[in-house]
Amino acid sequence: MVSPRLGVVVDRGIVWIIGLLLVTLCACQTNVEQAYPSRPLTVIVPWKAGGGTDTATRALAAVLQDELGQPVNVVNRTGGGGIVGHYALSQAQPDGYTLGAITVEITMMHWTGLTPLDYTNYSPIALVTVNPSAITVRSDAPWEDIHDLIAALEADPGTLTASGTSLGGIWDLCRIGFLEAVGLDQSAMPWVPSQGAAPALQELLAGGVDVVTASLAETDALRRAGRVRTLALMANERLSVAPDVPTLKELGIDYASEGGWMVLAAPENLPNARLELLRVAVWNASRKPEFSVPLERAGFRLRHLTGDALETFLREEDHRSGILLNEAGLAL
Amino acid sequence: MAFVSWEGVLALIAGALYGALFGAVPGLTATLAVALFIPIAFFLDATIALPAIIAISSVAIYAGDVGSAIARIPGTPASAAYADELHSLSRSRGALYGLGISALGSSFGGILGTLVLAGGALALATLAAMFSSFEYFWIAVLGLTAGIFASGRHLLKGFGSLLIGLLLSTVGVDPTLGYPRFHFGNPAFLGGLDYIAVMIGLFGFSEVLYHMGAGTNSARAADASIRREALSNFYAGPLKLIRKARKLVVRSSLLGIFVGFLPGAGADIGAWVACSLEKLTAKRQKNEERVVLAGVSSNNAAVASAWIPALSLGLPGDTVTAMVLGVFMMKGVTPGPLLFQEQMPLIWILFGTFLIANILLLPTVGLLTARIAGTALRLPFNLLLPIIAAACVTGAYAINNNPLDVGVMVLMGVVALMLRRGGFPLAQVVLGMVLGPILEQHFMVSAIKSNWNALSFFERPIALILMGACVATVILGIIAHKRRLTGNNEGG
Amino acid sequence: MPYNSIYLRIPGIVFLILAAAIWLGTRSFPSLPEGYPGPGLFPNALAFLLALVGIGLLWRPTAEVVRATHQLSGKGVTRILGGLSGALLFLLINPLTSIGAAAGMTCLVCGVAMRARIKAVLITSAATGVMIHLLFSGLLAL
Repeated sequence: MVSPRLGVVVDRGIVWIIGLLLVTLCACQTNVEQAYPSRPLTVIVPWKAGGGTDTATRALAAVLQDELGQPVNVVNRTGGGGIVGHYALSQAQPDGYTLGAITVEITMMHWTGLTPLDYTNYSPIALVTVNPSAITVRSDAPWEDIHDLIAALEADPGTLTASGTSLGGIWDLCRIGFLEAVGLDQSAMPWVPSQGAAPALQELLAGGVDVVTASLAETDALRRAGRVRTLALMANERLSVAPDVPTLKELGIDYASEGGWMVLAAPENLPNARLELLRVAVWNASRKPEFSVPLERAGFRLRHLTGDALETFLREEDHRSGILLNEAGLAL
Repeated sequence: MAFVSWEGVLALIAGALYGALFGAVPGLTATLAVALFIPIAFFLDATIALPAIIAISSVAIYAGDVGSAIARIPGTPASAAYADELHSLSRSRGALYGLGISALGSSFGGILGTLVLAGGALALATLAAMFSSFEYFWIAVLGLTAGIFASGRHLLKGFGSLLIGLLLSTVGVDPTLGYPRFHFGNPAFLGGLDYIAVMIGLFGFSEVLYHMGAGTNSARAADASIRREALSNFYAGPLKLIRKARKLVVRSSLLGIFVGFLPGAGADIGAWVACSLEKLTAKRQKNEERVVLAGVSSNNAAVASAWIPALSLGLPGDTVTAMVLGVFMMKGVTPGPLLFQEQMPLIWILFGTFLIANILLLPTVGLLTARIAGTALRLPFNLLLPIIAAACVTGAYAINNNPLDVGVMVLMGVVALMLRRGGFPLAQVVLGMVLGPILEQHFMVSAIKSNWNALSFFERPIALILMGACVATVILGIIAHKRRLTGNNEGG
Repeated sequence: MPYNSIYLRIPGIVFLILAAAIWLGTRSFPSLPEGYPGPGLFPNALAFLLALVGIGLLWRPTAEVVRATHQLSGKGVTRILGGLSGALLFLLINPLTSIGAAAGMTCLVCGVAMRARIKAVLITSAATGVMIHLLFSGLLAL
């Protein structure tokens, strides 16, 4: 009873399907070569919505679309400690319509063997933000300044613990770099892994760990609320948002780190003309006060690097991450 | 007073409609709705941006139940606790009635949550600051115990489902060493399975496959006797129920508040414990309405109480409040005790918006969404199910724009079909998946911190109290289970 | 159905196989410094519990099976396969066109698999496709 009707159904169905496809194909215009950019851009963020990278990227996208005259959409491709999003960007078409935020983790993950990807798999456009690590303790902690903390670590190595991210994450590397700079072994302040800065701060408040080395942007709310104190900033200069927090260098400790930076990048082999256009657009966009003022207020540091300077920056960061991960015993 | 500005009212209404849209479509969540709004919030005044966020998140959490009512697709892991009950209620007594309970129950829970937020935020924040990894470990255990005893006749099968969920949560890089587990060589699996994709597959897509297998034809989804539903189904009926079960509403809301203010997965655990408690203590067998009521009131009470640590400590309770903190920082507003002294007008606007969202927006926007849901349920099955299938694939794809999530969703649909055939409950899989990472991570952190000293899990006072609650749940659960089995045997 | 039928023991057997697979799969996992258990601890604990549940289900299988899936006929299986291919078709079509067209195709194939009236299915699919296109391409730019 089915077959004769089914035949008619299939015939009519095919006609309709072809019609439907044609209509939708026309609706989404085919790619005739036009001046770049002629359609909306997508920016991939490898971290979840609401995090630091996401906030900075969305703020940049909002001003970038005025510069480019096309909508700039931000999508989050999260998971795997950032691998998923970084991988997705490296696989995208290098046509300038898919960009992405790459973060410090891209200089770390290939050393630990999680992925073969490294910074050379991208065409970097510009450095946007750097997020220096801040040494943060509970507000009722007995140490007045960083030297008290170092004295306590020297007197009783291994009793104080630190947290901020997973084992071998960026804030863990900052801890190792700091301990090394003051002449201590990394076991003097063991690392307690956490799923990010917020859970680590929760542990800090509850007395589970003693020090958090996450960025100032991440700890600033608690600092302003008077729950934690920031002993020092691992940066070359103070942040305008926290002018009273000294840097390690001012305190006589020769260590500074860029912390968690974010670079806007395209997949490898982006045509030079489009790369240049994007460089100019990002430079103009990042100077706008509606982008810079709220981000600086939220504890980000804006830093603009592009071209050869950016290449050098990435190469040095990659080299540094390799050394520190090796010392942590996590590199392959 | 800035409170009744036109922009503010407009932002509230627009936010509520936008939140309803995002909550009701599978795969779109309250978090995503707020994340897309954040770039706009940069340019708005804090007194407009924050009320809009509150309206978006409150309504989106409620609208997550619309999916449960139409197609058994829960919007959040918390609403998975009562998705079965809400779905069968909507089909037997109409979507307006089922969603009426959901909207008005949410509204009451939300009001109670707001009152606690207004009255005791600072005191509760001090309590939240005392929770270290040991306490979180016990909270996760409590949630899992509640999940087992909520599984009905077969505790062993409920436990089995829970273990499958916990197992699914171990896919991806591990929380301590960052070592990749069970990724089958595919880098896209390193991020773990997305629990929303799994949820859409387990509930929504498996429903489609189930009816395909059973050969359901052009019958209508809802009971044929429900032609055109009266408005009283949405307001009067549920209100009567809430008046009768006011103790239950208060108890569940308090559970939602006191577990929900913990930064992390508080809201989910609160709803599960509330539903499980109602299932265990119910005298009658037919208590679907009361289970739904318990779940929704605790679910929405937690929406408000998640703001407690954010406002008074500067610690985000969930992704929505994390984004709210970002807005605070950009506007130069400092969270913490000082907020309650220096920014009183803003605080009053926040509390006022929560009340308006719960008293006015939920019942009105709720009716709108329930009407649409009712219309959808009047479609013949063999037209409704293809639409649901399309919504499932699109929703799964939209979470991360990842084709792999669609594959995971389809696979979970097939797994769910087998689980249903074997009589295993599905909601427990979702619970296991959500609590798995919390359990493992806090266990490992505690163990590393204390140098693998097992006694340290029993040393802190709050940890001991929580452990006591777990033991009490087990004892109460076993007694109730025995009573239910003997009661059933006597009955037939 | 007899109480001790082999059919009722399938879940228990599957659980035991799953437990064994996890145990084998985690043997290569590294441990934490100083020999403490690491990434393999949690999966192994789960494998142990899965094995216990598996033994419990073998020992005392429960007869409760959802009724409607009992009569899963050959036609039913064909329809389910139709539904699955409809969903997977989405993955094939989506990169080529708009997300709305792909979702509309899924809807169409599932509707045909459920043997709904073809005109009604076409109208529903087109409407679903347009709605999804507007919602996702317009709002989320997918």
